[in-house]
Amino acid sequence: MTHQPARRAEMPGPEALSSPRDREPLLSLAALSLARNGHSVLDRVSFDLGRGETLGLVGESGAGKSTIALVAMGLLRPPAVTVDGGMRFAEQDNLLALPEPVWAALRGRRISMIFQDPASALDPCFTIGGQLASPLRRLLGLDRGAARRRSIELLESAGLNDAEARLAAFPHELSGGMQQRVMIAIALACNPELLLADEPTSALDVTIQAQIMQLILQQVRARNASCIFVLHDLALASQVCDRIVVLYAGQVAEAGPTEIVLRRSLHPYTNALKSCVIELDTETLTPPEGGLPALGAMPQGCRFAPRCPRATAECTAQTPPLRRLDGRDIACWHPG
Amino acid sequence: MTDASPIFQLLDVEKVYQIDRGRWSRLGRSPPRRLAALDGIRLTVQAGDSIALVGESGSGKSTLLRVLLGLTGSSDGRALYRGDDIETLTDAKRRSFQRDVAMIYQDARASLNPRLKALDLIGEPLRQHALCRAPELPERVASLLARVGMPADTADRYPSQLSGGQVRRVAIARALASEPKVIVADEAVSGLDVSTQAQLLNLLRGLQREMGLTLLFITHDLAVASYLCSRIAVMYLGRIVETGPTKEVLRRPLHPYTRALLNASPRFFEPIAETLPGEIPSPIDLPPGCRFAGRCPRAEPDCRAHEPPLGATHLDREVACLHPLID
Amino acid sequence: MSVRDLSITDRGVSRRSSALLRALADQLRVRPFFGIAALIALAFLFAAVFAPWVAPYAPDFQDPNALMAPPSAAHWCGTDSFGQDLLSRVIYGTRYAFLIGFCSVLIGAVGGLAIGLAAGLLGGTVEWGLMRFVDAILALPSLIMAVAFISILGQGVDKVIYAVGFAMIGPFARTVRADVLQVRAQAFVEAAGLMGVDRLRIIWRHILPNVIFPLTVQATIRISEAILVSSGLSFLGLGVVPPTPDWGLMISEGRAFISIVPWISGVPGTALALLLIALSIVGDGIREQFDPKLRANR
Repeated sequence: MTHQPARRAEMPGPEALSSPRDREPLLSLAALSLARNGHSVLDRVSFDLGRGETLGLVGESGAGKSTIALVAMGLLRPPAVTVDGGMRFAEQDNLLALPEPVWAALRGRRISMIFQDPASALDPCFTIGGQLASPLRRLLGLDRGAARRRSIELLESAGLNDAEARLAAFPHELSGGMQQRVMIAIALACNPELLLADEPTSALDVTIQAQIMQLILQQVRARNASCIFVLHDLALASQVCDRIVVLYAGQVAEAGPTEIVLRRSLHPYTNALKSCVIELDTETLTPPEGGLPALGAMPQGCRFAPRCPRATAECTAQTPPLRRLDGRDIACWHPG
Repeated sequence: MTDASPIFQLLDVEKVYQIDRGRWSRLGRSPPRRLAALDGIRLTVQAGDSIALVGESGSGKSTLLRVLLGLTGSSDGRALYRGDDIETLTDAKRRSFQRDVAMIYQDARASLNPRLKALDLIGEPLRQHALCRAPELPERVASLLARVGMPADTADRYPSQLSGGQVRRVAIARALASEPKVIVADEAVSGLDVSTQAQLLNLLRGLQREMGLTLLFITHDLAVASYLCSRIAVMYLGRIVETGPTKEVLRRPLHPYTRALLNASPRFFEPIAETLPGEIPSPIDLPPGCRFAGRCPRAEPDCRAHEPPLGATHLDREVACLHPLID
Repeated sequence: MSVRDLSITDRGVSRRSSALLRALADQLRVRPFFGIAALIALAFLFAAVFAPWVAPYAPDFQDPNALMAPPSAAHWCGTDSFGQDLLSRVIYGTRYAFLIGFCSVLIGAVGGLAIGLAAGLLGGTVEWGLMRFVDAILALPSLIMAVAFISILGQGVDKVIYAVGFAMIGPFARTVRADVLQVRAQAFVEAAGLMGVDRLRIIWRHILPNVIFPLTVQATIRISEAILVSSGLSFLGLGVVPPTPDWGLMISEGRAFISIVPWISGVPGTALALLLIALSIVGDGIREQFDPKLRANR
């Protein structure tokens, strides 16, 4: 199995923020704000995702990255949360206002999700075959025989040998890596246009992580689908994502092509994140002081200001808007 | 008491669990299956060492820790603390063992009684080992909290009122309370935000250097091992496959598994590297020969016949491989 | 190493007591019935405590001119076949209801705690033996068990308390044992052992506090069960003796006349039903708010 370079070869130019393909973006967030139980979880998040692109949502806990994935999957919507702003997917103008029957047709069929812990995402009471066949029969209308054949194909392309025997197995009989492969197979069963992967390898051993990431990328590219990775590991994001959105406490700090955002970071938080990444030859670490703001006590203005070495009064007075600078979007009064 | 004997010594320690095949096996008398969580471990920890135990699931690193702490007995071999067998310490020596060796758990929150305030949690080892008089307790706790970078009013809080990073710091403060000589940590910084992780790593490194502590640190992250510990021991399926100075081992690994671990850690802007095939095999009833042979890209016929012993190569490095990566 | 850890002060929740009030306010908002039920239960409790001042008549005051009188201005709920004012008897009856309820649950909880602790901590044959004993208690419905007790001990308020209390030991012992087993396996218990804390201290400081709390939650729920069982006993004539104003007894006294003068049974019956429903809802609300297993899913 040769390893293909995980990211696309072309270096994005200054017009990089418009979709690399000359088409409408597949998913588009416009100033999305979300509050839950009166606490602000997302604050005017905006970014675009083109067809066939991989995008990384990176940040620490409370950044809102999983929340965005859940909203994009319709698992978190009003009235459980209050939202403002918009989310477009393909021809659906406002994902947030869709009624449940429309979501039922979208989920699994056009938008699909892989979760962090495969052991809890797979139902322990049903066999692998049963769980695979479920979307095939319900969403694609395949009959039992066709669903079984397709399930075997999917398991094989997910790298599980002895696929036919596995159909009768239960999730607990498989290792973590194999369970994740099954979850990938289920998620991609109906060839969705958008795959959301929420920390897909965090619960796995390190030598299995690389296999699974490669599998996800290969499968996504084979279908020309787009993929959003929710990650906390910047190095991993640099390996697999074409574009990246750096989030802090529900606000976008910096967003754009991964090369540009991670190599030529302009936002103090992106720099702070990079300074916390330990590599094999790291001699010293200089993390930012303090911790993330608690949900009930979000600072005014730029939420990173209390910890930012460049913060001024302006930063807490007014949230900096997201504007284009040097090939990426950045929300900072003092970039550079 | 200057004691030249090493702090910990594991001599061919084995920990085998017998797994029944099921209730009918006792009728049919088929032999139970053997799970060798630890298989022939030899490790020496000198005072002041900082050793990282690195491995994936099934490597036996947690079992090793438990044997070192006396929580589990070994099925074979001997585990020694300062020359004495850990399982049969006299009362006095056991008390000094309990004082000198402190543990930081992976799940810091679970290791703190949710019904006690930080003051009582950190004060427990102080009381237990009678390290200070009752009226001085709050002051001592406050100074311990300051040492881990927490304000003194944390003492009045319950664990449920603290964030993940703060809970870890309280756990570290408690570990330091008994003025230990050895700190044993089981994945103490995994699962945290990178900024919290970096802060805690700096804290641990600073404490270790300041206090000359012996540190035994379990981690799956090679970069953390390199940052924190001067020596590393790589484990696979119950055996130590390589040891040596951390930077050396990570710069020039001798064992193919160590190299695979290195490759598997994501590095900025490098494409995903060649991966190890297959899954980590089950430790139950392992086939003979080198246990890594099934996945090793360099396996030769003799690898499947003989189990390579952990042998010294050049100064200070050991590797358990019949065909190490000497290039 | 910075001491400026901002997230501490930003945490929000500062004290346990305000957290408690906040939690109760939460329940009131989410489940309005909880508020109503709590008010009703408190009203009954108030009646029990201040009975002599609230009740218009003494409970055993017999008015020969008003035998089996329907509700009127003088007797708001009517009178029974002895001329005793039903409202007053119901009010005094709340005393017995709560007394029996609290005391028997106390006996059950203490007994259950002892057995559950012993079983969970000692294990082996002791645990096996104790759990079989508990199984035996649980095999019989609490009413039957209580009847058996009364036949041995005799009748009277205190005998009812012992009988119902003993029957409640079973369920409490089970939950305590399960909790003890679960707490024992927690890392903080092992950590204390590593520090060298001796077994008794570990039980006292670490295991017991974590077991008592779920026990208290259980106990508040079982009070209504205890009241029901004791009323059942009295209804059967096996509990308290007349002229005690116990609701079960009052219902039984009015049984013969139910088609002619329904209020003699109806009034105490309604009071009993109302209190039990209210306590049930309150118990549910408390459990939902404080049971950590349920809370984790919110």
